[in-house]
Amino acid sequence: MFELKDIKDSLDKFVIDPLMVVDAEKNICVVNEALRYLVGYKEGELVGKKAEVIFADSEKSILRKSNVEKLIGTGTILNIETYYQAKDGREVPVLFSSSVIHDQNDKDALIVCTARDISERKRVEEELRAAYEQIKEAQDQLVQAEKLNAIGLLASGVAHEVKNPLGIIIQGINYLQAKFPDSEVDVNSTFSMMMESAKRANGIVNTLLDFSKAKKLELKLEDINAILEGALELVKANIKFEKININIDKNKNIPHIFVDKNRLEQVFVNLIMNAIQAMPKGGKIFIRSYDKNLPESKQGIYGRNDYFKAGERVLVVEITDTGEGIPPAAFKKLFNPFFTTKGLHGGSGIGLYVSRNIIDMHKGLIEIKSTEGKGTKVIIFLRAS
Amino acid sequence: MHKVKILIIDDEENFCKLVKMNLELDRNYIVEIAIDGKKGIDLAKKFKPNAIILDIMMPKMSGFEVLGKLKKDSKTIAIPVIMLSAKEDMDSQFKAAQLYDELYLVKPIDAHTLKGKIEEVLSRRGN
Repeated sequence: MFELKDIKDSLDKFVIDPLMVVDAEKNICVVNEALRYLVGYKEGELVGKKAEVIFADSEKSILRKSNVEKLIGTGTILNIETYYQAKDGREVPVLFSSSVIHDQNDKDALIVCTARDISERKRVEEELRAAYEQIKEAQDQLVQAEKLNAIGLLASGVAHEVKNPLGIIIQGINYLQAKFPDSEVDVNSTFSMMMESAKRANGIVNTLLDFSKAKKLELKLEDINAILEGALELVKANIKFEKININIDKNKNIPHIFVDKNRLEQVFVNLIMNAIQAMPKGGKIFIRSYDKNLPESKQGIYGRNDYFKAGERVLVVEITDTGEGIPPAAFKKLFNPFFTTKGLHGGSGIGLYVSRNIIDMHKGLIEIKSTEGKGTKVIIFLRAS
Repeated sequence: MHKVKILIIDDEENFCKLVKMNLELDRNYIVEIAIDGKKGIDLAKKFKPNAIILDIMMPKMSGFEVLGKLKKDSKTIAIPVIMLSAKEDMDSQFKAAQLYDELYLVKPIDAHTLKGKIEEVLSRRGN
């Protein structure tokens, strides 16, 4: 009869897969060199210890530290994916098999456990999965871009067809207003309502034109702080917000940059309105402007690489609210056109889409960070030169 | 008192009529209408308006073709033109402003604003 120690040299020399032999009490009796190398233990460090010591308690496998003593030795286990835990804490994916050997009298048993290191396979699988995700996302974005292009063409065509009749309606109302004396109060208030509606319809058409990117930018050297102030004035003129406190922290030394003032003002108004609408019970809005050198590169929309390079000087505008935050499920769809978290009467769902388009037209970036229940921060990066 | 003569060239006949009615609320204005480019050019030569309101997107002859012909003819070259269109693309605006130094307005526009713009153009040209 061979003693286990007699076959140890053979296991070291000829068995290239990590292997250990465990007794019926699940104590490790023999460990080959391949296993010691895989998990980073020195000779003698594992013998005598419980088998569970080299298993990770990973949720990713049905065989793990907490149940390994129960499972091995009950029969043959063949090629189960599990994780060994190396001495330094690393989790090593392995394909685990074990088999029970009984002695002639069936009184004693040993369990032979082999494992095949599948780290490389896992790494390749992960790379393939990531590549697949990337291709799928790129394909989704292409389809989305195609759809938007088609909607854009339709929108600019429709816009033209609607603006002509609106011109007639507005001129018609003007004429009737001039013909009726001021004493005709009801008639005049009806004309005012009609005029207001016609102008609202024109506003919607203009938003459609923005949506279609049919308009281009009028770039001039501008002070971002002044544009922020202008946006705030516009919001204040249209909205009552007694319960909302706005705190603005402008860095007066930021450089003037080439932007389309009206478009950027539209973006700031959109974002401030979103912040207000996210706080129906009131709250705080922090608006901050500053410039800095980017510590790292940033990707553009549609995954364009190195849109901003590390070290590039940027002008940053942050608009933070203490509102409801954005549910994680909604986060990926935030910039999709016609997506809204505000319900049927809250908004058209194109504000953020248009805002991102405008920032994109400025070759800038817009990022959103949000914690549900705590609030949302929108960060705009614009090129400082 | 010197009357202000305006010519409107636009294929939207109802729009032309309403602009005429609104402008002529001021008795100092006389407005003529042409609903296509060719008639507009002929009328410009005969009527000799102080200013022309010109649409861009018209069948047969576009507003820019009309503008080109007006600016090539010695009888009409000096007449200021206000481009008024539902087309809001920057190329058109650039063309109107840079090539011919003319004002470009976008429909819809209310009567008060339009009249203000006409007066602005006329005073700029010393009328």
